[in-house]
Amino acid sequence: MSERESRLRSLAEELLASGQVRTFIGFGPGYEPSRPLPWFAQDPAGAAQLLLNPFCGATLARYLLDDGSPGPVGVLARGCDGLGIERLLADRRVSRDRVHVVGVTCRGAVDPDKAYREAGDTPLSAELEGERVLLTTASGTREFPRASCLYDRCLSCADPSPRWADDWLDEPLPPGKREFPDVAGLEQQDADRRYAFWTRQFSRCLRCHACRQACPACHCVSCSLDHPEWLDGGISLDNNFMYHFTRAYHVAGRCIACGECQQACPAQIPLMLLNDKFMRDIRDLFGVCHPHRPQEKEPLGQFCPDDPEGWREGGAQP
Amino acid sequence: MKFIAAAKLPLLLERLGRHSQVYAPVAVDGRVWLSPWTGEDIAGGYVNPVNSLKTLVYPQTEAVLEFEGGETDVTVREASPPAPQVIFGGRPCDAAGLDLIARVFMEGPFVDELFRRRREATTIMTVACRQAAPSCFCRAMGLSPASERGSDVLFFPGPEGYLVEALTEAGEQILEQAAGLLDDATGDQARRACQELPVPLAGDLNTVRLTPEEGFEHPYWEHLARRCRSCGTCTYLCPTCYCTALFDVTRGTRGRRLRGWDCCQFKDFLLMAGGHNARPQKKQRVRNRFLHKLSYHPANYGEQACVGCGRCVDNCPVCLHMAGVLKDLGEVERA
Ligand code: SF4
Ligand code: SF4
Ligand code: SF4
Ligand code: SF4
Repeated sequence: MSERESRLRSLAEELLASGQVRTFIGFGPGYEPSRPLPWFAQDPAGAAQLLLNPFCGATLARYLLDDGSPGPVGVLARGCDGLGIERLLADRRVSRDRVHVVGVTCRGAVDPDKAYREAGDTPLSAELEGERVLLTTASGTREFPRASCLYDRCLSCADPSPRWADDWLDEPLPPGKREFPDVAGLEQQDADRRYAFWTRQFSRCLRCHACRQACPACHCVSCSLDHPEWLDGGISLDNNFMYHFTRAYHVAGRCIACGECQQACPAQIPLMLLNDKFMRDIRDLFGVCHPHRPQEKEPLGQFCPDDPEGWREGGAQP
Repeated sequence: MKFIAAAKLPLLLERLGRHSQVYAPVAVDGRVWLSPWTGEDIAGGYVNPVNSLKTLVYPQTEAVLEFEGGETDVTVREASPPAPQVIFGGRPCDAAGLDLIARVFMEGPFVDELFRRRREATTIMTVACRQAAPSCFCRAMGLSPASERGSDVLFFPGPEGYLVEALTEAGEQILEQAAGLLDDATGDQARRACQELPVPLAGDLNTVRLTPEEGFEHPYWEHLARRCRSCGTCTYLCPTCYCTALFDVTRGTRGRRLRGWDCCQFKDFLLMAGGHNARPQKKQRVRNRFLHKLSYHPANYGEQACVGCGRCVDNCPVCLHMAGVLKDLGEVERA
């Protein structure tokens, strides 16, 4: 057991025992060591099973929406979880006094599918060491490059620690700068090629809503994508395009770049490419340095009477 | 038994394509899908395509009828009957899954005409498995990498090509159409290799039955449901989920009545006219999925509604899946 893991357990135990939180959300044992499950500890026995290792994958913030119990909920937060929590607070879906954040500094999460492909066998444990990942399988421990083992989202992560927390398991690291390398590649293609690209992607969308249900910014109580007067349930390329326009526009300016939508998508549609395009544009057009971090003044989420609205006066569109 | 060389397979599909829509496994952005085949490379080396055979026989949405008219006169046109189709490359678990849902749609006093027409217009050419994924559990569900259920023709892949066996009349017709492309089989190693392929998740999980009386209020359901995200991944990918929705899509004076998949995990699955929701809680919905598969379906059809294809195991973003639940329930029963 790592030091951080034992600290997490005792902290969660304390919070639960003292009644400071009713539930503590973290990770617990799953069906295999490489797939810990989102875990909802409600008593010290549950807290004693909490896990903290590089296989802890799914993001946790969204579970705050589900909890109907009165009183605060404790939640383990890596950088991405922290931004998700901030998103829910900023959007007033969760109130600050109902969440107790236990921050941890994350060096990346290992994708069990990638690890299985790399190691050729079911991984039993993983350790991160700089640019390398040590994977242990039944046949021993071997080294692999970080880039081939981590979740996609972690490879472009600029937020190893949450920006604030009520308790810390270790020293937070300062946030870095997020870049958008893939957006430029897509923009260089002409409109026909881009259309062909997105047609291929969206035509295999199952409209399963796994992307929406994974997203800490997609939390409307009633979603327009569930309303047939906005989008009917017929599966067709244009309806699928409509679905994705709607999803992308609705999270534009609020996406926290956790990549959980793309991670959840069973059709492997590169949704982060769209989200990144919006974020890059918000950075360049509105001068927001870190468009994925909830801002005091949201670039697309506020109304300013003195905004330039050239198109209204018949001028050129911005 | 016959043999077809790997190089001749595209010729066979081409020939079948003269009279039918042909589907084959094709790699799209790194994953294999059963796709309309127009001469693409036929993928090998996959365990199971992303989309199951169900998706091609019971499409996600299809037109039941079209209508047009004003307030007093309406013309209604039935959807045209489906074209014949041949599907190559599904796996034995999915073929069994298709047969399983065919019983729901076609057995008993009410036959679903849409399903029946398409099922009868479909020929299933299944490819038996030479490799299993860690998530596969067909054997635990009473099937195997070489099971015949639901297939018209079974292909057993070997290094040079496939052993081919027709299992039904429709399958025999395929072999007749393949005349000239087939040789007599010289051995049956490929078949034995499939039959003997070990499957990672073993056990007698297909004997697990739930009786709602005992298990309905078990705290296990709450424990399980907490992590569910209420998406459609598990049921939409599942080859044995078949819940149906019927709805109209109207534009001006014309419209279409569509029939398509529904998903018991969606929060408005049982939202009624008038606003009552019979399953507003996640616990109720998750419980329904597993009780349906392990209790209601066995009660009505004598078998679990799961063929161990592993899709929910691989794709649920939070590992809430049938293999896990079956394991858990084994424990719950013993306790
Ligand atoms: S996105 Fe960043 S904070 Fe989140 S798991 Fe990956 S590396 Fe850690
Ligand atoms: S998760 Fe993927 S397949 Fe499902 S609705 Fe979103 S984009 Fe489509
Ligand atoms: S069990 Fe998994 S795949 Fe199914 S609805 Fe819940 S989160 Fe989605
Ligand atoms: S329940 Fe899961 S394993 Fe069983 S048939 Fe459905 S998707 Fe496959």
